Amino acid sequence: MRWFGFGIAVSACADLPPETGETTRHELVSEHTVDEAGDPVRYALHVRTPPGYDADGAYPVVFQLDADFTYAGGLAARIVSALEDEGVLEPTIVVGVGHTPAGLGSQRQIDFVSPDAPVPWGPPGASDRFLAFVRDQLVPWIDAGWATSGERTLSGHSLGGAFAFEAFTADPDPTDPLFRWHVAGDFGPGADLFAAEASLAARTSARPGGLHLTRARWNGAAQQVPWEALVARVEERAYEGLALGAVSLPTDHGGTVAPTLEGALRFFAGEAE
Amino acid sequence: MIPLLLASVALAAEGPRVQLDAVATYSIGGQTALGGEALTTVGWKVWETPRAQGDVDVGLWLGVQAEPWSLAPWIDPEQARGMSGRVRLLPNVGHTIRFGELRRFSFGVHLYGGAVAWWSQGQVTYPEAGVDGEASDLAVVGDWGGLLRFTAQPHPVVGVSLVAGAPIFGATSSSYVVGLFTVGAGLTFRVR
Repeated sequence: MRWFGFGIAVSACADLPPETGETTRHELVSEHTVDEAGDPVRYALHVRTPPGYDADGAYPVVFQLDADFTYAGGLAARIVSALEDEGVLEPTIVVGVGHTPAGLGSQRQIDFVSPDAPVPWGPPGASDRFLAFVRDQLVPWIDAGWATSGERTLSGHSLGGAFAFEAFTADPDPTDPLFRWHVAGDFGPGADLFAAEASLAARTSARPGGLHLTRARWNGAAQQVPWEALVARVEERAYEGLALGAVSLPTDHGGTVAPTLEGALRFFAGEAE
Repeated sequence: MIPLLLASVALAAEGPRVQLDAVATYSIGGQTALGGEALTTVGWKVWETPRAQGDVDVGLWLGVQAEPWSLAPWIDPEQARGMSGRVRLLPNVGHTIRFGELRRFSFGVHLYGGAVAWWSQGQVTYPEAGVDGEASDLAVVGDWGGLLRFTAQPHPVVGVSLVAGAPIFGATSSSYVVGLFTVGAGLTFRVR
């Protein structure tokens, strides 16, 4: 069961100061993903570099999915900027991954949903293709163009959150993950994600890094039961080296976007929940 | 200004008009809900022309909304069974214009502010994943918003009522648990 609750992608960043640094926009045509017509997907990338960016430096990178709305108003960049100013984060590059043309169309349903997950309508999922794009094309392209340290965070909301969890389970070598930190915001875990987690557990007892999950309390029991079961499942595994955080936020689906990313980055930096 | 105020006081002295609406509602927000609502208003006439009059109303809006998961097509009924619901108690104030020779038609605009009790309860089962659990949750939160009401009363006592209400987001919460966009149709009764 996927969570398709309607939410208002609220500009919950009203309390945040403006983003700092510089953001540039780019496009990348995928060699892996295709749209419903079978054409290669063109992704819009918003790359924010921190103030005083040094091309010879080495910066961690936060990849924020669904940039069409989670990056609207520079939300992810504003959160990172504020945390940098606070001293919680070191200077960090933010990459917002959106679609071209922008929008919440069917492509995210293709990219973020597992081929194993039933979908109530629309095209079948092909998250394996999107993961291949991220692993084989997007991350190398970012690493080639900017001064990155190899320390990466993947953040997603809703279907993007489900994808972030799937990516958490999918590394061929879980002890050397592509993304060290995963932020899975307000998603409805389907049976496919339990299967993905079981597959990870069968391959390794160690998963260094962090996993932070949130849900919107107002989604109700239909999401609460599988979400809590998935959190409990990961907890029971006690993956060596994994920092696991899970928070039920007293808000709705759209209201979790900003507190999910901010809370996760604070958690990964060592702050208590 | 003073004559206008005196005229309003004189008109108000005629005594209040009490109206009760009972409507069936359809609501949408996070998901969709079906419900029933009762809206009682007490109105005092504060201005009048040959063709219309204006009332100042105070009222109480009481509603029950049921949100069965079967109304959410993305929830597989084989896996999940349950429902959410709301009880809303919303005092309101507004202005209603009554028009027609016998003042049998009305259009009112109201602002409401009150509380919503929300609950959710159900069971989810994924046999292949070893998931089988149930949960329940309850919260009481503030709610405020706007309400439009149109009535037509061909009979002196009974008529039809159409209502549409919407929460104002961001004031007490950004959440759709607080209130849903609601439309309703039903009967209106002139009690006094």
